[in-house]
Amino acid sequence: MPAIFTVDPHTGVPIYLQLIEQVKRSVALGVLAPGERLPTVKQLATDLTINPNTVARAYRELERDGVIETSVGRGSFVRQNGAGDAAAAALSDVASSAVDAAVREAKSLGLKKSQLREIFHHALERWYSSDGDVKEREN
Amino acid sequence: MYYKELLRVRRFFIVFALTVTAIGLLVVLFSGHAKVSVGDSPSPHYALAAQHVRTGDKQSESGSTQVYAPGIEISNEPSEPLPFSALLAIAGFVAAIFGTCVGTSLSCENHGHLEIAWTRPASRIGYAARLMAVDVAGIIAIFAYTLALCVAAIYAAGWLHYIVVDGQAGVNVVRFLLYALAWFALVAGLTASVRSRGGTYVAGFSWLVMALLLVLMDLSLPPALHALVKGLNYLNPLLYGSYSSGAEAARHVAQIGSVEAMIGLGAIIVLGIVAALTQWRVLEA
Amino acid sequence: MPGQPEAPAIAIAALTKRYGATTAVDNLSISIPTGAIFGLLGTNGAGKTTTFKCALGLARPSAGTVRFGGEPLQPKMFESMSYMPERPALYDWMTGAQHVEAARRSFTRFDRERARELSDLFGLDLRKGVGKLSKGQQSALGLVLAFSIRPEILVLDEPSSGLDPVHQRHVLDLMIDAAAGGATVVFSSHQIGQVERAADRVAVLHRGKLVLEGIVEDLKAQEKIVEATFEGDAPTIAALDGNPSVRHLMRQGRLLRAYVRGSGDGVVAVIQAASPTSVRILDQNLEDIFLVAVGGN
Repeated sequence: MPAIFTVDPHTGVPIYLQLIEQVKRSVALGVLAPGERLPTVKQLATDLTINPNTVARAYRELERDGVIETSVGRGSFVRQNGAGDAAAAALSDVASSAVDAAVREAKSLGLKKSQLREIFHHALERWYSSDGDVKEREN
Repeated sequence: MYYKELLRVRRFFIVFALTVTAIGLLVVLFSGHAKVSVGDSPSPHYALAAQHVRTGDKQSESGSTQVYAPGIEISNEPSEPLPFSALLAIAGFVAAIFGTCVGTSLSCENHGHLEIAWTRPASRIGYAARLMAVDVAGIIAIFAYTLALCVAAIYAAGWLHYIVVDGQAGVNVVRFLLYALAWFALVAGLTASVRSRGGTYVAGFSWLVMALLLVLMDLSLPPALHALVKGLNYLNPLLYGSYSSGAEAARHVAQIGSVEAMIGLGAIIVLGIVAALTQWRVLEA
Repeated sequence: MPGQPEAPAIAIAALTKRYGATTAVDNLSISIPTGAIFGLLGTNGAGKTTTFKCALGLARPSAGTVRFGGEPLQPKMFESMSYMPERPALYDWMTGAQHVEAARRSFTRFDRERARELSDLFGLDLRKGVGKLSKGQQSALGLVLAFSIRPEILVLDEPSSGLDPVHQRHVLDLMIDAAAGGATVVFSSHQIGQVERAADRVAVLHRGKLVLEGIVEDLKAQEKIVEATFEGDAPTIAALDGNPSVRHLMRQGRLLRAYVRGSGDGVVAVIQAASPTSVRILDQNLEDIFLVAVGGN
């Protein structure tokens, strides 16, 4: 199975967190279907050249978060029910911390609130389609 | 676990066996022109190595069996009966040099190999014992080979009928083996802690040093020093073998009978090996 | 016994080693659980090799103990434990094949097929005398021998030294494969990138002392940098100096950096009180963490 995950071991972000985010992203976007089998701990560790315990930790947290389920001897699978919701919920957490960090960064760069709003709207226009997602347009 | 030592000893064995064989061939080649004899005076013509053992008080007809310097003479004199012990002595001498060479087995490990030697499923002592067992086997093997080659060379030279199995021959098999093992144990005991290539130098100089030690016994030294020298000489294998600086020195050696010699050599063997093993217990990588 | 925690694969307790007046290892205590890949980091002379030697019986500790699965070191443990020293302890006059044969006869678990596999992986010609091999090839041979025993505990001192990058990756793969199979791996390295990938636990030694220990992922999560810029020169903030969660402070002109343990929120609040123009929180990777640990002391 080709590796559909990539991790960067050299950043300050723990690898298991990177993995968790990627699995959740894959589930939320449908790249991993409900019931689909994930690589084994050993397989993933070998493919990505990372520590197996790190992979195991990621899988444990994913199970705790309700995204996957593991049965001994059979492996780990995307949950049939609710995995998508759990993943989506988790991902929105990821998105909100990313936005939060961006706002904080912008503030530390000295941007005013109105400037930031401009930038935000430009970004929304750029990445989201005009139907449905954006409700308001500030002047 | 002793495979590596097997390889090492085998290398030495091949070199020694080839050398001995070559010498044997030379003897056979010269056999047409010369005869082997046991002569009165220890004149050093062609020196091969052998030791003659005083066969108790029994002396051969011409009173020629004496203790003196390593030297079989090859001369044109009429031949005398050749005691089998002389061949044993040759074998013992060759085996003793061999033992001196392989005696650095522990010291060789110290020179950068302890990480591999001491991380095996055997205690340090167990591993050292295995190494030394292989060394001893090699010593016995070269002894046997040299003996067999001597007999073969003599047979090929047509002198087989000169060999007489003297009464002491049985004892001398043990004695000369012990002689070889004593050199091995001496070198092992002296070099077990040596880390650098120094072990080889110690082995190389050991014969010279031991010979000098024996010479010191002849010199007139202050009593305390003389006592020390005398004491040290009990650990000197040469004391139990032979030594030449003339008739006087020969008397020292002549006074040591076979049994005493074997006890002395046995003591050297035990002390040497114990010293070697003890050093390895304490050593750090 | 049910309920009792399993003894760690390797438990080093208060290990001290003195060579004359020098203390090479000072009161070191580390616990390495089974199945971990434990990275030992430190500058040269920090005491990594000495620690290995004391643990494996090659040197005698001045104080302290080392236990394997709860038991002191016994020779028979080497049936399933291998050591690869920093400098290969191979015999120049023997060939690689002879080394393999010697290992095969010494260790019951030795897998000759695996040795052949690994030799091919590293491009080793086993027929060549070791004296004729390059340093990298000698290291590779050492690795081949160590891994072919299929050990339960692997102790590797600078396993990648002398190897080209392709082979270095192979070493990582081998370590990960071993750990995935249940083995415990302890290795020392100068290459922090390797430790970041392969190790789940790390200890940093500096001048013989343990200055940092923990699970790599947790360290990364817990160690942050709070960076603040000021209008004038960065001020001295008294509240930070005594703060136990601040490992290290750096001032450079208008920039203030606090290397903190924890989320950093508390420190952010303290710094905010000094009216900075901006504050942000940065992650630390293992190299950052390591440099602070050895430099900040």
